[in-house]
Amino acid sequence: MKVLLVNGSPRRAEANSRIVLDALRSRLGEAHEYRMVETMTATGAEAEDLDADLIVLAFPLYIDSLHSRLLSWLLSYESLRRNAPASAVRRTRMIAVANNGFHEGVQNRTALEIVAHFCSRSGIEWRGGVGIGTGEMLRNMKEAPDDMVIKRPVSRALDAIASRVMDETAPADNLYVQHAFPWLIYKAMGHAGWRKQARAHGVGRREMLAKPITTAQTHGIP
Amino acid sequence: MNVFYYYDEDATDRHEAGSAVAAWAAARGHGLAAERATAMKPCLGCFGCWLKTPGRCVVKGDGGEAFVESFVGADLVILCGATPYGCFALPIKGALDRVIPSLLPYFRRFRGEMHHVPRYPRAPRILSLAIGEASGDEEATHLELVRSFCDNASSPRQKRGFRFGGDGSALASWLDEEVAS
Repeated sequence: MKVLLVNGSPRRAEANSRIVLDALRSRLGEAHEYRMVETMTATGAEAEDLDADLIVLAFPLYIDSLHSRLLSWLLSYESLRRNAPASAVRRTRMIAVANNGFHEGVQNRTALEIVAHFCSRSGIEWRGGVGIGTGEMLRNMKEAPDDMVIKRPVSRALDAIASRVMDETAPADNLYVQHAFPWLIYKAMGHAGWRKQARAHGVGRREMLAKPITTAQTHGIP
Repeated sequence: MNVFYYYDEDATDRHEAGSAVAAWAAARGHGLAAERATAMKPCLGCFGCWLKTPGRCVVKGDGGEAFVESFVGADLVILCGATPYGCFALPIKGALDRVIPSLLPYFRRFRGEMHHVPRYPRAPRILSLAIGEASGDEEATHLELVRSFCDNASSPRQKRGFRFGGDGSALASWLDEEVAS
């Protein structure tokens, strides 16, 4: 099977989406032929991108949807596929995993719907997606065993989406999960993490709250 | 009230919608600024606007900072454009990716979910004025997307979807309805 891995994150190799792609690849196995596309640097979809039995997309939630570079790539892919000769268009399936830095995985719902609509317009078989909350924990949990209590909900969702790829009878719905980690502690650890990172850049707690834009600065608005 | 009308491309229907918005704003004594979305450099996902230069994007030399200033300074932001797959039009989405400096990295519970804390005390009302063809499912997704964006921006939620078909009075009625809600 030819598999096109699509990383929709602007952070490219440093992205949590890359961790997700690696996790899905390990579940699908190495018997397949893989190719990777980074939408942050791609100028658009290319003819060889059509030559895939499966597209595996991973991306971060960006303003409740997709980063503009990923949207741009999807639009170019649809155009390329629509205009390609019939001989160049093969049956292609797609799964997608969105992650966000909030706690609730369900906040990825509209983003996954957008990807499903892309499939519908492009003649691609949508096989469903996973929306992961607590996305910033993906990196911390990367080396942890899949059955570790905190990681297990995410691991099981990735197992499910990988296993349904070739199963025609499996539902193509979306799964929404987050690490088994309390909301308040996630929030507190997030705040501490932001402050620590800002300090490393010489920015203190009060400076982080800066309001550099005043109404007078707005341009063109009376 | 300051209205910021931001549209995706130079096309007759966008200008017709813009004229209808201008007439609506003038009749009600609102100030209006109109601007076409232009290609911006993409957001890098670097969090520099939270951690290095709080409130300011580290990407310079395009319209990103000016867009954030217009967005933050407006009372009503009207995003007018196509809705591919239920998303925002590409140039509008590129600009929206760059409004992250208007938020703080911190979290809070808002409308039942975790969201970022707003950087500024006052958030604009945000409306999407859709144009062009869309399926029923894409229409529903787009309204949900706009409402989620409103939640993240701590703005009032858009009440209903509106797709401009050339009727200026229908557009004015919709704007009145949304602003009154």
